[in-house]
This record gives sequence, C-alpha cells and structure tokens, in this order.
Amino acid sequence: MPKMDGYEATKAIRKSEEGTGKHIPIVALTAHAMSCDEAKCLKVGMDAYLTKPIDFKLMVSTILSLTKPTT
Amino acid sequence: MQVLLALQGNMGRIITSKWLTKKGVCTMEASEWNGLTQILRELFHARSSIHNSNNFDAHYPINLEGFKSKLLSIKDMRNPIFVIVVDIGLLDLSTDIWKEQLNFLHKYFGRAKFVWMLNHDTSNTIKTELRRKGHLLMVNKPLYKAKMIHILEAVTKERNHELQKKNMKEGDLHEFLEIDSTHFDAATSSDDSDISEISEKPIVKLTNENEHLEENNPRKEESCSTEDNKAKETNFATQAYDRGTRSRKEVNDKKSLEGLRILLAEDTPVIQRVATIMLEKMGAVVVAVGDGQQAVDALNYMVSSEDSRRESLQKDRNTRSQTEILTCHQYDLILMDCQV
Repeated sequence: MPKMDGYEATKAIRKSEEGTGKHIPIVALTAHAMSCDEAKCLKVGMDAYLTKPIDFKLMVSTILSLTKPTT
Repeated sequence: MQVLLALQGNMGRIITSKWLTKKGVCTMEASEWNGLTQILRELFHARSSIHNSNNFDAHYPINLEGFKSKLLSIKDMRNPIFVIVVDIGLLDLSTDIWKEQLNFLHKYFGRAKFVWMLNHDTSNTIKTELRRKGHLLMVNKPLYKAKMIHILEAVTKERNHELQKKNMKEGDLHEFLEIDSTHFDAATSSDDSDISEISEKPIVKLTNENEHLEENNPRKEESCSTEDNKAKETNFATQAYDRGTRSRKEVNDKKSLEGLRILLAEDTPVIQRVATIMLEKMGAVVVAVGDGQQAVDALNYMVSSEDSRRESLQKDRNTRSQTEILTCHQYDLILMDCQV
C-alpha cells in the first residue's frame, strides 16, 4: 500500500491501543507464504495470517475464531 | 455413462470430450441442431429396434465409422446413463422454432438427462419454459470441468434414487459449487467470476478447482504444523488456526458473520471489492480503505468520535448518517494487506 504498509499500520494501531486495554484483532493478508513474513506479521502485533489467493472458508473461520470470544 | 455434447464452439467441445474420454466416459459430439437430432434418433430408435441396424445407414448417410462403433459399444453397455449437454445456442432463438425443438427433445426426456448450457443473457422465457418441462439442470457457460463433474455427480445420484432432489438451477448450482470450492467463492458465480479470476492471478484457475480442493486440507495442516514447530511468538496464530478449524463447520452457515464490523485495508481495488462482496454476503459490515495510513486514521477517528457522538446526534441527519457508518461503531476486526 502506497503510504503506509500493513506492518507499520499495525504497529501504529497497537501503539494507539496502548493503555486503553483494547485489542482489535488484525488479520494479515499477504502474497508471501514465507515463514519469515509470518513471523514478522505476528511480531508487529497481528493476530492471524492469511495468504493470497484468499481461501474464503479459511478467511471466514479465521475471522470467526478471532471475533467470537469478544462478541 | 454416456455423454452427448451438443455444444457450439469446436475447441471447448473437443477439449471437454477428450477430457471425458480420458476419464472413461463415452462421449459423442454434435455441433448443431441437425447433428443432435440425428444422433438422438440413432441412439434411441436404434435401441428400440436393434435388428434394424442395417437400415439406418441408408436413412442417415452421414454416419461415420467411429460413430457406428461407438453406437455399438453403447448398445453393449447394460444400463447406460445418458447425459445430453445442450447448448442453448443450438436452438433457433430468433424465431419461435425453439419451442418446437424443445418439444422434440422432450420426447427423449425420460430416457436421457438433459443439461442445458445457458448464456448469461438467455431470456427468462426460455428458462421458465425449460423449468416447466422439468429440465432442472441448467448451468451458465462456460462449461468448466468442475461444473461438468458436478453435473455428472448429480445425474448419478439422481439415478441412484436418492430422495434429495437436485434442483440445480443456476443459483443453486452456484451455491453448490460455492460450498465445495475452497477458494474465493466468487469464482463460480457468474457476476463476480471475472473479477475474482483477475485478482487471483493465473495460479488458481477455476479448472483447477478440484485439485485445489484436495490440496487445501494438507496445506492447512501444513501451516498448522509449521506453526507448532515455531517459538512462542507464533503460538497466537496456532491457536487462531486451531479455533479456526473448529469453527470451520460454522462457515457454511450463511450470515455467520452477521453484525461484525470489519475494516479492510487493501490497496488493490479489485481485491478490495471482491473481499467486500464476499464478506457482505456473510452479513458483515465492511469498511474498505486503500492505505495503512487511512486505516490508522479511521481507527483513531473512531475513538475520538465516540466522545463527540452525542453532539453529532443533534446535527443534520444526512451528514450524521454518513459519518456514522464510517466512525461511530467499533470495528471488530481488521483485515490488513501487508504489502507496500
């Protein structure tokens, strides 16, 4: 993404969440299936990781698994 | 099983035919109406009067050697299932002749299963007429292998007197495919198919659907197991995937994402649109932004706007309803594209 990539955006979001006690689930979408990318995603504070092309079922189940406990 | 492909367009027909033959399905081809009627007559009238088999050469001189041998091999089959795939373009749609043609085909209705290939712009009159006559197997062009497999499965099942009726009109077929296909459901629905094919790049073509289907589970397990091997930092994701696996059953329920608010940060407009459509189909409310910065802004704005929400309630209704959609509710989840 042109101005700010997902990693930075996630970092920024996590930073803004600091002290509020909120934790909004962030799912990474990436074209790379490399494990180092995955590690990077998780390091910046993302909760789950999906690779493109997006598997619809997997996406929905991931979303559900991340949102169910909170809703 | 015997499949008669009555399709316009040589390439598609030949490819499908070759593919089916390779899979051990006996196929016959016709490219236009006259060819179709001829084969039908030969097939069914010859069957009822096998002893006349010498006569019909004279009646229908176009007979080819290959065709004859096929015909014989079909007769040898004990209990053949006939599937006739008919391109709607074979009928004369410019006049009312198609009705008569339909009536003609209807004579064979009990003896063969008809599958209709429709164009995306096939008029409703024709569809209703087909439905009225009991032709329920209708699919939109193009004929993918996956579709073909579903058709054949459906026909076989029906033959086995399964009670469940396969009312495979287009809509149902799409759903049916949607449930089975594991990638991008949109790939099978006619409206979105173009979009999703573009966005998915040639790696996952619809024709690969079945392979993809089989691949999917191992791939998922693989991702799980690699995660298991990793250090603590990946525990999070493993849990997520495990929970994901458990809740996989729920996925089939429509509207399983009902009431969720999702912020989608994705810069490719096509993927953005497709993902939005998919998620909205599941009942989620999607707000799409094109950039990480915008995503952060949207979130920050949301937090600050919560305080000023009450004030904004008194403001002009129109502007409020617009801003409300974007700001006033908490997001339940963010889908974040990682690339720059």
